Amino acid sequence: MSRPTPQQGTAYGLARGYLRVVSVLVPGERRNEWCEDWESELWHLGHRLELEGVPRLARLRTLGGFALGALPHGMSVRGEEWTMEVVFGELRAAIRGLARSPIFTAVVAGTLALGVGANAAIFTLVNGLLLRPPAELHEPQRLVQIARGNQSRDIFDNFSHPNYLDIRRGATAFEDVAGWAAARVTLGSGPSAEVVPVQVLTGNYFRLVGLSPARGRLLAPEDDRVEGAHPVAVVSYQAWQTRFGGDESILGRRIEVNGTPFEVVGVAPRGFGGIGAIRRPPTLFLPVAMQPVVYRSESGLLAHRGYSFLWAVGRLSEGTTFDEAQASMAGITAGLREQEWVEDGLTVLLSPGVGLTPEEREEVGLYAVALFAIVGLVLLVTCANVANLLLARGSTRVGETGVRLALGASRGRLLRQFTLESLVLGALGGAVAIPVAYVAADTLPGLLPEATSVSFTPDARVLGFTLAIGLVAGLLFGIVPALRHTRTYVSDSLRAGRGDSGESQRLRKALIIGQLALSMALVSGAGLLIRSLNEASGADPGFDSRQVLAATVNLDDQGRFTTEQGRAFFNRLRTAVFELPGVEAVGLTSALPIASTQSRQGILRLGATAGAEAARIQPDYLIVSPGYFTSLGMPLVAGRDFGPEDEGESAGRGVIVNETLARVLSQEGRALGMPVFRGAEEEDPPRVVGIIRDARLRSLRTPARPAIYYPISQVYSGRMNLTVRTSGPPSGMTVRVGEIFLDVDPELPVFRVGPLHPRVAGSLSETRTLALMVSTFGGLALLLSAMGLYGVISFSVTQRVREMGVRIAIGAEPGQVVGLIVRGGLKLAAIGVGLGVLASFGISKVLKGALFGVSAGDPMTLGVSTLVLAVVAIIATYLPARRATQIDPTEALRTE
Amino acid sequence: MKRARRLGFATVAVLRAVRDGRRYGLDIVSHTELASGTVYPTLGRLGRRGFLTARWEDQRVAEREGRPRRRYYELTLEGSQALSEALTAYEALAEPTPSMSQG
Repeated sequence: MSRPTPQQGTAYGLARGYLRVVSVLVPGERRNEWCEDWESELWHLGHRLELEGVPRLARLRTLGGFALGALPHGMSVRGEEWTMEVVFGELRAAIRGLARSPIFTAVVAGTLALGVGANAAIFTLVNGLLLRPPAELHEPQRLVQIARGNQSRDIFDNFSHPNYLDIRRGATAFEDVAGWAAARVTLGSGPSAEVVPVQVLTGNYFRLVGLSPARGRLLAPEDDRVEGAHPVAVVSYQAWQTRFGGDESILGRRIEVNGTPFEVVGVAPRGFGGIGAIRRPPTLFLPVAMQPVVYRSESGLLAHRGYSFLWAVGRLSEGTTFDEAQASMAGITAGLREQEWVEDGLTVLLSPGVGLTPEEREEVGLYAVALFAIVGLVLLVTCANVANLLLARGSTRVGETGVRLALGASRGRLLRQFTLESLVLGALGGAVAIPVAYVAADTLPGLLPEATSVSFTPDARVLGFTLAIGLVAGLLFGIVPALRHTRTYVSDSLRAGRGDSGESQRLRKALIIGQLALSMALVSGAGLLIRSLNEASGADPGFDSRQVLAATVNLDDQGRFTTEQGRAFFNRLRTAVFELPGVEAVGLTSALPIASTQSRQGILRLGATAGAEAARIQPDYLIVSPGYFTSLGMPLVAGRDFGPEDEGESAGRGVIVNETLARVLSQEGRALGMPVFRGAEEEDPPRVVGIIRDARLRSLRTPARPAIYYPISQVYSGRMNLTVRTSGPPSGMTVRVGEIFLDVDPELPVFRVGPLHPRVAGSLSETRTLALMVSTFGGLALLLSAMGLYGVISFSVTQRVREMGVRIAIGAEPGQVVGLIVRGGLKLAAIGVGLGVLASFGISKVLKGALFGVSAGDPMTLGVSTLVLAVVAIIATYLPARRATQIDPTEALRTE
Repeated sequence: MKRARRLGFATVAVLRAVRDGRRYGLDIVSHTELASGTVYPTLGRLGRRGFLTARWEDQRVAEREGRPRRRYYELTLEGSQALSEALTAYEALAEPTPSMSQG
C-alpha cells in the first residue's frame, strides 16, 4: 500500500469504508491491487472536489456515486474467474499436472476403473434386459403385453387361438393385436437333422411390431388364412448368417420342418429375435396357421378354446393411454368368462412394454437392485482408496498450497482447481472402464442361465452412464482431499517442508476405517447372498435326478406309428430296458422335470358331481407310464401308481395328482377317488387313484404347482422321454440303452441320450452365476481394501521414519517398533470391522427381498468375513512395518 | 482469429477517451459521463482483449507529489485499430441511407 496520504473529510471516509466492504467480493489474489486502484482514484476525486470548494453534501453525492461503481466492478472481477477461458485454462493445467506424474495418474485411473467398471458391467446387464426395447421396433412404447392373469401378476398366462381372436376383435383400445408362441422343431432330415427353436406368429405380427425385412418379405396376413396351408418361413438374420452362410439365394429355398417342406420367403432384420427377452433366439419365424406341423399335434387345435399357447401383444391406438386400455379389458374379460375360458380370479391383464413378462421383470429387478447395491459399495471402497492416494500426494504438496494461500489465492479457486483435477481423474477412470462394458456385453449372454435374444452391446446410455459414474466418483473422492488441502494453515506448511499434520493423518485413518467397514459390509453381504442362493437351490426338488439316464423319442415325427403301434413300441421298450443289468426302474414321461418345457391342461373343472359350482385351476399336465415315479424317486403319498389295472378296454380311468392339486381337490371331499372333469359336459371323467409328493417341475427356485398325471395306456402322446434309474453311474448305461433302441426299432432317431442330472443342474447355473458375480465383487472390494490399508500404513510409516529412527536410536528393539505399528494398524482394522458389522445389517435390509432362508445376522457369514478381513489387515500392516525396521537409524534421523 | 465483434457504445467511448489522453480511470469516468460501474468493467475487458495496457505510476513520483499512486491506461496498436474501425462503422450508421424509391 502507498504511504499515508493527506486525509480528507467524512464523505471521503464513508466512501472509502464502502470500498473496503465491497472489496470482500474481490478474489484474494487481486484484492490488494483492486483496493489500491479504487482508493487512489477516490482520493483524487475527493482532492479535486475539495480544491473546487464543493460543499460537503455535494461532495458526498459525487464521491458516493463514484464509489458505487465498485460493487458491479467487484462482481465482474469475481465473475472473471468463472469465464470459460479461465476454467478451460485450469482444466488444461490440471491435465498437464497429471501428465507430469504419469505413474500416479495411471494408478488412480486403474483403481477407479475397477470400481467404475463393476458398475458399468451391471448397468450393461440392466440396460439390455430392462431399459432397452428389443431390436428396432416402431414406437416400442406403444406395445403392450396382453395376458390372462391375476392382479398380483404371479399368474401371467397365454391364450388359445379363438380367445386371441376374440381379444383382437373386441379390443378397441388397440390398433391391432398379434400373437406369437415359442416352439422347437426338427430342421432338416437324416443325420444332419437338428432341433432348433422357432416362433410361430400371427399374420399381422410383423406389421404390428413395425419391422422391415432384411431380404425378401416378412410374414403377412395372407399367410394366416387356412390351417396348414401356408408352408412359408422367415429366417432370422443370425440363422441366415451362421446356418445358411449368408447365402443371397436363400429366398425360395426349401427347408424341411418336422418333415414338412417349407419355403423360405424372407430374412428378418438384423438383431431381431422376437419380443420376449428370455427366449432362445429363434432360427425361424413360421405362420401360426402351421401350428399342427410345428407342434406335431392333431389338426383343429387352432379352433379349440382350451388349447392355450399364444402370447398376445397389442399396439395402443394413438392417444390411448395404458390405463385406459387396461380399463377397457374388463369388457373382454367378461365376454371370455361367459364362455368359461377365463377362470375366476383371472382377468385379461396388460403389461407395459415388451421384452420381459412382469414376473421376469420383477426377478431381474430384484437381482439388479442387489447387484447395484454391491457394486455401489465397491465404488465407494474404490473412492476411499483414491481419496487416500490423493491425500498422500497432497500432503507432499502442502508447502506449495500454503505458499499460494499466503499469497492471497482464493480458497474457492484452489478448491476448484483440485476439484477439476479429481474430475479429470474420474473421467479418465470412466474412460478406462468403458472396455469393461464391452467385455460384459460379450460374456453376459453366456453367464445368463436362460438363453436371451437380447443384445447387450453398449449403447449411448451405457457409455454415458460409465462416464457419469466416473465423474461422480471423481467428486466423491476429490471432495475430502480438496477441502483438506485448502485448509492448510499457512504457518504449518511453511514451517515443515513436508508436513504431515496430525489432522491429515487422522483423516487418512478415518478413510481407511470407512473402507474397511464398507468392505466388511460388502463381503458379508455377498456371503449372505451366496448362502441364501444355496438354500434356495438346496430346497428339496421333490425328485432325484442323480443316477437317472434320459432319452427322448418322437414317434409322431416318423409318420408310421398309429396310437396302438406307439403304445406297443413303448411297452416293448420299457420291458427290454428293464431287463438290462444295472437298471433299477424304467419309466416314460411326456415332460422331464426342469429339462423339458411343461404344458398346462385346458380348464379343469372339479367337483363331486358334474353340475357342481366349479373351482377352476390349471395344473401342469403330464402323461406317464407305470414305473416313472419310481425311476425319479418320487414317492407316493397315497393311493397307487399306474399299473396293469389301467390298461385294456375294461379299465376304469384313473389319474394321479400331486399334493398341491390334492389339497385343492379335497376342499370338495376326499381327494382319492374324486372324479376330475375337463370339460363342461364330460361323461365318465377319470378318477384320482394316487397322490404323489410335490415336485418342482418348472424351476428349482419356485415351489411346485398343481400337477396331474395321465397314464399312457389311456392318453397317448408320441413324444415321450425315457427315464432309467441305474444302480451305477448313468453314463455307463448310455451305450446299452442305445442298443436297446436299435433292437426295438432300428430306424428310430433318439435324442439326447444321457444323464439327466446335468440338465437339471443347469437350471442351477443362474444361482451359480449370481453367486459368481457376487463373489467376484466381494473379492474385488477386499482386494481394494487390502491395497488401501497397505498404502495407508506404508505411507504413514514413511512419514514416521524419523520417529522410528529416534526410537531405535534410544534403545527400542526393532521388534517393539514393528509391534507398535502393527498394533496401530490392527486397531484401525478392529474399528473398521466393528462398523462393518453394523453396516452389513443395514445391507441385509436392502437385500431382504433377495435373501431366502438366511437371516440378516447370519453368524457364520459374519464370522468368516471378520476372519478374512482380520487376516488381510494383519498382512497389510505387518509388511510395511517390517520394512520400516530395516531402516538404519542414522539414516532415519537425517531424513527430512 | 476472433470474429470481429462490433464494439458497443460504452466501449468505444472509453477507447476514445484513452486515445484522447485520459489516462486515469477517474478522468475517463468524467469525460465519458458514464458510471464508474460501467467504465471499470469495460476497462478490464479491454485490457483482457489486448486493446489497452494498464500500469501503475512510478511510486516515487506520486510520493513526491504527496498523493497516492494511480493506475493509468494506454491504447495498444490493436486497440487503436479497433477504435478506428468502430468509429468508421458508427459514422456509416449516421449517414443518411439512399432512398429506395428513386423517381
